[in-house]
Amino acid sequence: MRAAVIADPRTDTSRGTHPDTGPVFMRASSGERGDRTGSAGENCLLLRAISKTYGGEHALHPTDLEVKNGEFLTILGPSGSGKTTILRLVGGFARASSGRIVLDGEDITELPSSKRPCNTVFQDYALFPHKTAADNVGYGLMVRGIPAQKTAAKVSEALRFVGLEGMARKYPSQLSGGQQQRVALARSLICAPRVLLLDEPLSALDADMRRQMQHFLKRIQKEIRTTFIFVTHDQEEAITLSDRIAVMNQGRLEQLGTPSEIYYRPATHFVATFLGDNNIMEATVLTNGALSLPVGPVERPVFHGQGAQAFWAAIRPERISLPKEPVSGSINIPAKVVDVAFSGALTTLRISPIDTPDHTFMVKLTSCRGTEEFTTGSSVLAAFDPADLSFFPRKPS
Amino acid sequence: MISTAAPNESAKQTWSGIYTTRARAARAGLFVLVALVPSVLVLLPTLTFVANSFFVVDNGEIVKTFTLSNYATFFRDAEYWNVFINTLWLCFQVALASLILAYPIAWFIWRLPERYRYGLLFLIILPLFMSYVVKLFAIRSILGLDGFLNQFLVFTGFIDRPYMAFLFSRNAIIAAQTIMFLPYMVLPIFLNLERIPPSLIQASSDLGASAGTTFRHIVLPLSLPGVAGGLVFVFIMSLGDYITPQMVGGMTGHTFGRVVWSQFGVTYDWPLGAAFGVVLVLICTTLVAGVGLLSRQRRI
Repeated sequence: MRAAVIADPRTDTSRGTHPDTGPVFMRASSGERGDRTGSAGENCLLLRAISKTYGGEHALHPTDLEVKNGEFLTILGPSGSGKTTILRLVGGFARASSGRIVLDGEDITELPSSKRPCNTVFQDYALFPHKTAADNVGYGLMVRGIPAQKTAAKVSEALRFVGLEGMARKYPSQLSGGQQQRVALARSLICAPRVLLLDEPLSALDADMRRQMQHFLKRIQKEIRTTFIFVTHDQEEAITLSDRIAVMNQGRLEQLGTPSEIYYRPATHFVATFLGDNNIMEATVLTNGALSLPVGPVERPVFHGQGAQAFWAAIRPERISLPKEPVSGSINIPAKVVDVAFSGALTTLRISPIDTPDHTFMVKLTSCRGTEEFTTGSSVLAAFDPADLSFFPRKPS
Repeated sequence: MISTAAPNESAKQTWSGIYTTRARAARAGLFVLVALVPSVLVLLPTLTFVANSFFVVDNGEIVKTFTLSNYATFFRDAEYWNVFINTLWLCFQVALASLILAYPIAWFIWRLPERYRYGLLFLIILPLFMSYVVKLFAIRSILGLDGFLNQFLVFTGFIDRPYMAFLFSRNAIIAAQTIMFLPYMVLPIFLNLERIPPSLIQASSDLGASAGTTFRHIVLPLSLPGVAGGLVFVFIMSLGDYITPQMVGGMTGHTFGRVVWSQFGVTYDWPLGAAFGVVLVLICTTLVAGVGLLSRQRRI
C-alpha cells in the first residue's frame, strides 16, 4: 500500500513541510509556528458553507471547498467572481458572513490574520518600501522575537532559495518586478506557512517574466510541498500550474477538478466557455434515450450530468479533424470553410455544416503540409468522436 | 515669422512641423507668462529687501552704501541674539506640541470608516477658512480672565478664583499657536497615512505582527515625511507670526517676529529689519532643504 503511494510524488508522505525536511530556512524551531505537519493527500483546509456579503450583496455565496495537503489549487474566475474574497477570508483580511474555516482540524474562522498559519503574497507584493530586501524577508521572524543572528542566517538562506543572493541590501524600489515578487515569496515562505495564499501575483509582470515566474512557482511548490492557493483570472496560467482548479463565477463555485477535467469535462456552460475555445450545441434527449444534436443524433452519449433532460453538448476545436474520408464511429459533418486564420503552429478554421449552416464550428489544426489546402469556401468533411463530447445541463427553453 | 527652426529644416516645413514650432512657441510664451507673475510679485520685492539689508539708516533716510553693519548688529548684540534663540526654541516647542496633539488625531481620522473620515477631516480644517484675527480673539476669550478655561477650573474646584496667567505669557503663545496651527500638522500627517497602501498593513499582520508592532515598524516610519512636513509648516508659521505674540504674549513673550516688526513699524530702521528678515528666510530655507534631503535619504 505504502509503496504504491510513494510512486506518486504528489502523495509522497516522506516529504512535506515537515520541520526536519524542506529548505533549511523553513524548518521550524520550537515556538515558531511551522511545527505542524500534515500528510499529503489529506485535507488541509476546509471551507464549510463560507459566505461573504457586502451591504446585502453576495460577494460569495455559501461555498464548500476542501484543499488537500501539499496541492497547488488555483481559484480561477473573472473579476468579481469571488475568487479574491475566498483568499481574503482564508487570510483573515475579511470576516466571513457565515460558515467556518478549518485548518488542520482547527477552526480558524475567528482568528486574526496575525495568528493564522497562512501567509499571503499580495498582488502588489506589499513590500515595505523603507526596509531592505533582507529586512522585508526577515520581518516575520523579527516580529516573533527570533534572535537577530538566527534571523539573518535564515534570511540569507531564503534569499538564496529564491535566487536573490547579493540583493539583501537593496530596497524594493531598486528591484525589478520579478525580483520584488521573489522577495515577497521569500518573506512569506520564511514563516513556514501551512498554506500559502497567492493573490494574482503575476498579473503585474510582462509576458516573458510571467512565464519565467510560473515555472519558478511550480518548481518551488514541488520542492517545498506547501499547500498553495493561487488566485488568477488567467485560464492558461491556471491550467499550467495547478493540481486542481476551482472555477468561480458570480460568487459561486462552478466546478472543482484537475485541469484536464475542467478542460475536457466542464460541468457548466460558464466553465466550458471560460477556459479556452469550445463549440457548444444544444442537445435534447430523445424518447429512445439517444441524444439529438443539431448535426445529427448521438447513439450512446456519455452522460456526466444526471437527471437533466436538456443539455449543452460541447466539443473542443482541436478534437475535430478534417479527414478525407468519413471516419466510422465518428460524427461526420459535410461543411464549407467560412474562414481560415493561420497563427504559426496552429491553423484555426471556421466551418459551416452544409445541413445546418447557422451552427458554425471552430476547428484548430496543427499546421502541417496539407493544412494550406483549406481555403475559404472549400468543401470539407469534419469529424469528431462522440466520446469527446462533454455535456452539461441546460435550462429548457 | 515665428519659426525658430534651423534654415534647412524650415525649408521643408510640413504641416506637423509648423504645428510643433507653434506649439513650442506657445509653450514658451505660456512659461514666461506663468513665471513672470511670481518673479515680479515675489522675487523682485524679496530682492529689494535683501538689497535693503545691506544699507543703513541715517537721520531717518536710507543711505544706499553697501555695509554689513546690520548683520554685525544681529550677531554682536546679545539682546537680539537672545530673543532670536529664544524664539527658535519657542517655535520648536509649538511644533512639538502640535505634533503630539495632531498625530493621534490624524491617526484616528485615518482609521475611521470612509464615510466618517472626510467629514471629520473637514471639521479639523474648517478653522483654516476663518480669519486669523477672529481665531485669535476666540482663543483670547477662552484663555482670558473670565474666559471659558478659568470659569471651568473655578467650577470644577481646581482653583478658587480666576487665574490670570493663561494670557500674556510665553506659554499663552505656545497654546494659541499650537491650537491655530494644528490643522497644518494634522493635514500632512493624515495625507501621508492615507498614502500607505492598505496591503502593507495587511502584510504586516499576515506576517504575524500585532497592531502595535505594525504601527511601530510600518505605519510610523512611513508617516515620517508627513510628520517632517507638518513640523516644518508649523515651525515656519510660528517663526513668522508676530501678531499672536503681540496679542497674547505679554512681557515674557517677546519674539523675534515682534523685533522685526518693530524695526518697520516703531523705529523705522528698515535696513536692520530687512537684515533680520533675511536671517529668518535663511533659517526657513535651510530647514526645508534639510528635511527634503533627509526624507530623500530615507527613501520614503
